[in-house]
Amino acid sequence: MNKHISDNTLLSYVDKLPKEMEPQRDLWQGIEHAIQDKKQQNTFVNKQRYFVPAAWAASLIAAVLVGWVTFSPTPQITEPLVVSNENVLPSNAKQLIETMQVSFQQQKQALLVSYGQPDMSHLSANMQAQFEVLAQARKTIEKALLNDENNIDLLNLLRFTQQQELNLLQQLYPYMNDQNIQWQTI
Amino acid sequence: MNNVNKYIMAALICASLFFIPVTMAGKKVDETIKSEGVNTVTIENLSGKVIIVGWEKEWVTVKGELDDKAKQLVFEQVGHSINIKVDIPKNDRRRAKGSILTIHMPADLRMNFESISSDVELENLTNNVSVKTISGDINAKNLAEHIELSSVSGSIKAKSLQGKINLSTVSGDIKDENSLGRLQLKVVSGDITSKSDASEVFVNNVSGNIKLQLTKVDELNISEVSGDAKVSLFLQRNGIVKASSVSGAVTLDFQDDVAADFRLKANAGGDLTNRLTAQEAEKAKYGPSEKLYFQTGNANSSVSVNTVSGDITVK
Repeated sequence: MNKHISDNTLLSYVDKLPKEMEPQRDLWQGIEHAIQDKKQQNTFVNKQRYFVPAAWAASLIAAVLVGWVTFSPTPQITEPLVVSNENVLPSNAKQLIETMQVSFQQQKQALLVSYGQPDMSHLSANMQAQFEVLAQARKTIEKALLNDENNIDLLNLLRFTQQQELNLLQQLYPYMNDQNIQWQTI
Repeated sequence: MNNVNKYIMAALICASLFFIPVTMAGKKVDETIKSEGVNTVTIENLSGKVIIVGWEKEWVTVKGELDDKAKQLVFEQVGHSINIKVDIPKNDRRRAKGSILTIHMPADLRMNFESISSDVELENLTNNVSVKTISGDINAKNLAEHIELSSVSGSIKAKSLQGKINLSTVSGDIKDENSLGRLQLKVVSGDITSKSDASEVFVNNVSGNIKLQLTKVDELNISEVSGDAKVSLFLQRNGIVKASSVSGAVTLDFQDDVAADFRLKANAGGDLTNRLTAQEAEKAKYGPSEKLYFQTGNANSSVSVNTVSGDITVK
C-alpha cells in the first residue's frame, strides 16, 4: 500500500537517523592489510621485468633446497666471492646467486656422501680434467655475474655448468672402482 | 727306459696342447624363440660385442659365442617380454673377456640393452630403442621412433636415425649423419659432429668441439663451456636459435637470405663479428661487455647468442 509521504515528513525521518553507520566489526585491520599488499604488488610489478625469471629460478632452487636440507651437512663455501662494489648489487639478486651456489654445493656434497666420499684420484686423468674445466667455468660465470647480476643468460649458463658437474658425478662415481670398465683416452 | 718316459711325457704334453683351445673357448649358442605376443626384447651383456638387427620375421634368434666364464645364456619369454642375458658369476666378471652375439628380432618390437663394457651395433629397429653401456662404443643405423643411446666412456656413431633421438656420452665422440626429427646430443669430453635434417636440435658440450650442418632448423639450442661451435644452418621462417658459451667460440653460418632478429652479447671479453650487415658491436660504457643487436630481412626468426668470454661470429 503506498502511502504518500510529504517531503517535510521525509526530511524529519532523515534527521532522526544516526549520523554515522558503524560496521558490525572493525574493518581497519583488513584495509591496512590490503594497502600493504598493494604496495608490495606495485613493487613486484616494477621489478617484474627483471626478477620474474630470477624468481622462477629461485623457487626451483628453493624446492631442491627443501628436499636436500634435511639430509645434507651445511656446506662450507671455501671460495668467497670478491665483490668490487657491494653497493651496486641489489641484495635479492646477490641472494639468488648465493642461493644457487649454496644449493649446488649441498647437492654435490650429498652425492659425494652417498658414494662414500670417493677418492677423485681413482678417476682417469681426462675425467679429473673435466671436473677442473667445469669448476673453472663456474668461477668465470660467477665473476661475470658480479657485474651483471640480472643477466638471465648467465644465470642459465651457471645452472648448466652446475648441472653438468652433478651429472658427471652421478655418471662416474658408481663405476670408479669397477675393473670391468676400460676408460677411453681421448 | 728314462728316455722312453721322457718321450711319452713330451707326447702327452703335445697332445694336451690340442685340447687347450677347446676348453678355453666359450660355449657356442644358436637359439630361437617365437615372438608371438611379445612387445619388448631386453638384452643384458657384461662385455664383448653384441649385434642387434631388426627383421620382418616373427621370431628372435641369438647366435654366437659366450664368454668362457659364462655360466649360461638366459633366453626366455616372460609375459610380453623376451629376456636375453649372459649370466657370468660375480667372481669371474673381472676376468671375463666378453661374449660375441648376433641377435635378430622383429623390427617393430621395443628393445632395451644394458651393458658394462660391450660394443654394440644396431640396425633396422623401428620401435623404441634404449642402449646404455658404461664403457663401449655404439654404432647405430636405421632406427626410428624414440631412440636413446648412452655411453659413459665410448663413442657413438649414428646414421639415418629418425624420431626423438637422444645421444649422449661422457668421454667419447658423437658422429651423427642423416638424422631426422628431434635431435639431442650431449658430450662432456669429446667432439660432436652432425649432418642432420632434424628440425629441432639441442646440443650440449663441456670441453669438446661442436660441428653441425643443419638443413632445416625450426629450433636450435647450443650450450657449451670451453669448446668451439661451428654451425652451418638453414634457419626456417619463425625459427629460433639460442646459443650460450662460457669461453668457447661460436660461429653461425646462415643461408644467404636469412631473416632474423639478432641479439649477440659478450659479457666479459670476447669479440662480436657481424658479416651479415654493416652493424658493429657496441661496447658498454663501463665494464668489458659488448652487444650487437640488428635485424635482417623481415626478422621473422630469432637468433640469440650469449657468451662470457668467447668470440661470436655470424655470417
